[in-house]
Amino acid sequence: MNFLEVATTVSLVFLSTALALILIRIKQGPTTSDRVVGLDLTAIILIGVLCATAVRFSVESLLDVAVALALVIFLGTVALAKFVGRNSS
Amino acid sequence: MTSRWLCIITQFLTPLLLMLSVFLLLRGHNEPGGGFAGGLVAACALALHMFAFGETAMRKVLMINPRTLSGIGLVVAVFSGFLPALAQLPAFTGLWFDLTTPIGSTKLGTPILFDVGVYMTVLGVCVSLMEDLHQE
Repeated sequence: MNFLEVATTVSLVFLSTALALILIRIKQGPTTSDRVVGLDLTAIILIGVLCATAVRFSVESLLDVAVALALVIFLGTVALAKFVGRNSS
Repeated sequence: MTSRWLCIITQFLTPLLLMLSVFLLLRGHNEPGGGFAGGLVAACALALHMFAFGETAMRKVLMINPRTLSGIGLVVAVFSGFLPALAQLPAFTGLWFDLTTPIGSTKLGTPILFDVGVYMTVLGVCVSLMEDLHQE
């Protein structure tokens, strides 16, 4: 195993741990805002997982997926924020 | 009512997302992408515009009723499938021809027409769904 494989494998392990912790936060989350932030963070970590996987297994097309996801993903947060704002007002 | 930052970001991001959707549509035949993914990205761009500026402004950008758009897309996709049948070939055969322009030559064919139809259908359906959700 060369250095790059070790690095990407370790980063994938850490990202999976973070994902598990965020899932606990989304399940428990006392308020809706916690859940919204957790969902947003899930998407960002997913982008990291995609990039690490693309490097690890040298699949170039996963990077395109990461770009599209990064451009689109905050839309869900905006929509949820609008929903929460309309319900509270 | 909507935040100023959302409006500013939308003005930059909507054209960018629309360009990305066309890029995905055109590269779809040989690489990841295609009409479905492109249509979804374009629908995301229009949804962002709708969140920032409201429904009427989004309709002005789209310029056509989304339900009409999805119907036109279906007709285009089916028409591209039956185009080879007019040339005595099995339906949904890919017909290709070379297009030479001053900046270079490329290949055009019925699969691209099919992808454009799928793009319009997905865009129309997703936009009309999001309009309904926005009105709730």
